[in-house]
Amino acid sequence: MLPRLFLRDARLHRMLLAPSLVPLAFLAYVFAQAHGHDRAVLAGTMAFLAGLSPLWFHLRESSEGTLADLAALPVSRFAIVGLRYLEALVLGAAALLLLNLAGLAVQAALQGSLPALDHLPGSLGQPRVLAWLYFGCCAYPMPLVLRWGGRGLGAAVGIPLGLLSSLPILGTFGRQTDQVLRLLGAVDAVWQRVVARPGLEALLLASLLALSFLLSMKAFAGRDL
Amino acid sequence: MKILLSNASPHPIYDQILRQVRAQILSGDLTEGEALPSIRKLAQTLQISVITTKRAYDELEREGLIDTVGGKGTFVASPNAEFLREKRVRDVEEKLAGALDAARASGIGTEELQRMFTLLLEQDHD
Amino acid sequence: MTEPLLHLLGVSKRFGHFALRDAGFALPPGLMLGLIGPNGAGKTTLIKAILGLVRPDSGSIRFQGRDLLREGPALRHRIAHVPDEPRFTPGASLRTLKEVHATFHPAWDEARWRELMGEFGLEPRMVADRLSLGQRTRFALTLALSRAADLLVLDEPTTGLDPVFRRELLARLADTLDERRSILFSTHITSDLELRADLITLVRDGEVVFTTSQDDLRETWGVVKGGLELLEEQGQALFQGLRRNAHGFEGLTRDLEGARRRFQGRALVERASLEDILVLMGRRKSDAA
Repeated sequence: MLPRLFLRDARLHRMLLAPSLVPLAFLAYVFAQAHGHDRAVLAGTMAFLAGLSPLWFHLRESSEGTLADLAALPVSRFAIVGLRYLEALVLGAAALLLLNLAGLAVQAALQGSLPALDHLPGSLGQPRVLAWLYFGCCAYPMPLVLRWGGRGLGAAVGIPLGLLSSLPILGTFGRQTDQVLRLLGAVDAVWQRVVARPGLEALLLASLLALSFLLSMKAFAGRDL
Repeated sequence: MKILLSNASPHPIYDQILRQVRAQILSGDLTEGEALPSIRKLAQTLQISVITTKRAYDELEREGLIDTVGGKGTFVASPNAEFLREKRVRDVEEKLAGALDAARASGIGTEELQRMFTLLLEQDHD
Repeated sequence: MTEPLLHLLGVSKRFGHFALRDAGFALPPGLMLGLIGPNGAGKTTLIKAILGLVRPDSGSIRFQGRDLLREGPALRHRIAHVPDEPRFTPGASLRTLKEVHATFHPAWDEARWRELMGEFGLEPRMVADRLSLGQRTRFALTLALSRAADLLVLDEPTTGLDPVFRRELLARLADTLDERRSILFSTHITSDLELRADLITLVRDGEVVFTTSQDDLRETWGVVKGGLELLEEQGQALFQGLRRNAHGFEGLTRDLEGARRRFQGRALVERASLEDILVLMGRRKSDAA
């Protein structure tokens, strides 16, 4: 079921797949080389863009009115939601791979030799960064997008931004600042403890991903098309 | 088999079919053993509901005019005039029995009933 | 009596300002059911509930004896759907769309699809979103008819089609019916269903008013046309629906025979067409009388 769904997206949204990955990867690498930017950030951005693709596919289908076709297919809800999560992983990996290949190509062309493996832009060496990126770009907005479409995405992006930008404003209200700062301090303390123990961090991430998936399933079922 | 339906006719569609087929069988236009279109095929051709054609065929079968052989189709029954007459006689007998039951239930006696029937016969002659 | 192919019972759904209340009907195998009613009455909502696009707040939907609400995905390959104003992914060709569709439906008949495309005047290389509504509807029909589905659900399929094509379409659809297959056809163009549909379900203002056979409708529903004084005298209670104008009234009655006797010689009493029923029943209960 999943392969067929994947193929379906590839066929219907192919306009988005190929062009978005290859030239981006290439340009990005060249840019990085020219300006000495941190390659990890670069790779992260690539993965970010790729991870957003399933959200994009879903929104596109929603706005074009073809979501009903997808929902009417004889496939389970689990397969449809699972597809989105899988697409983000697969496309993200593909993006990084392409970035590496682009890097190799450019390097080979410029220096006439292949670079050492650890100099490749895609080799972040920090899978946890990628994992959290996956959560942030795909798993976190997914339930919101599945339930509320474009507005959901807006909320996913808008709410955290709103919260962050409201902090300085709260700062002008004297007493509240202390409380907010204490709250943030507490959150930060908890976070530091979690990060210190990799096992705990992985567990937190896994639970968040699972929660996201469950919420997505529910969101898709609850949505009226 | 030729059927012409009229929307303006006071007779229901199934009745129009019934009358026309019956007439064609009795007149000999439709011969014994001749195959009739299935209820679905007939509905298709006449562009009407299959429930209507089924109703007409069921009635024709009840009257002994057609036979449905399971799996093979529907055919014009043998014009066994005697069989048909017997059937009609039986129909009348049933109706008379029904009238008798109704009379008994209402407490109408034999003499009164006979009087009623004689009166009807006399009126009919007129 | 065989079990209905499709059986809806007590289906209710509330959407903000609109509510479908306690809707239900039964569609036996081998028949065509016409779902009629004014725009906004709830026909599309009912269809979406059957297809699993809308989740009812309450009620049950059984398909071939199984719970469609619970077993949806497993049963959906036996249901083919032609939506109201079909939309397709921009830039996709008919061939691509067909290939995508075919991969999900194993009972796909490629030869039949080609045949239908030819008959409907379409070519695989055409791009879907650049076609007219009529062409898109015809394409959606080719997809739905090239599968061996037991239930064909059509939501206002004739809106973009000319009268000649509509006639042919109805004939073709009737042709696909057999002892196992049924068709559910929703429309506000009643002439498409007149006579051909086996059963008629009238939906008005979120409620199913009735489900009867065409025969019953033709024999029991009538239109009484007479002067206003006659209406005053006889009263409105007799009629299911009523329209008045300067010259007189048009009343919808459920008792044709009774009306013939009662209004003998004083008013015109005729058999009601589907359109009469639809128009006189109105959009809301309050419109009717």
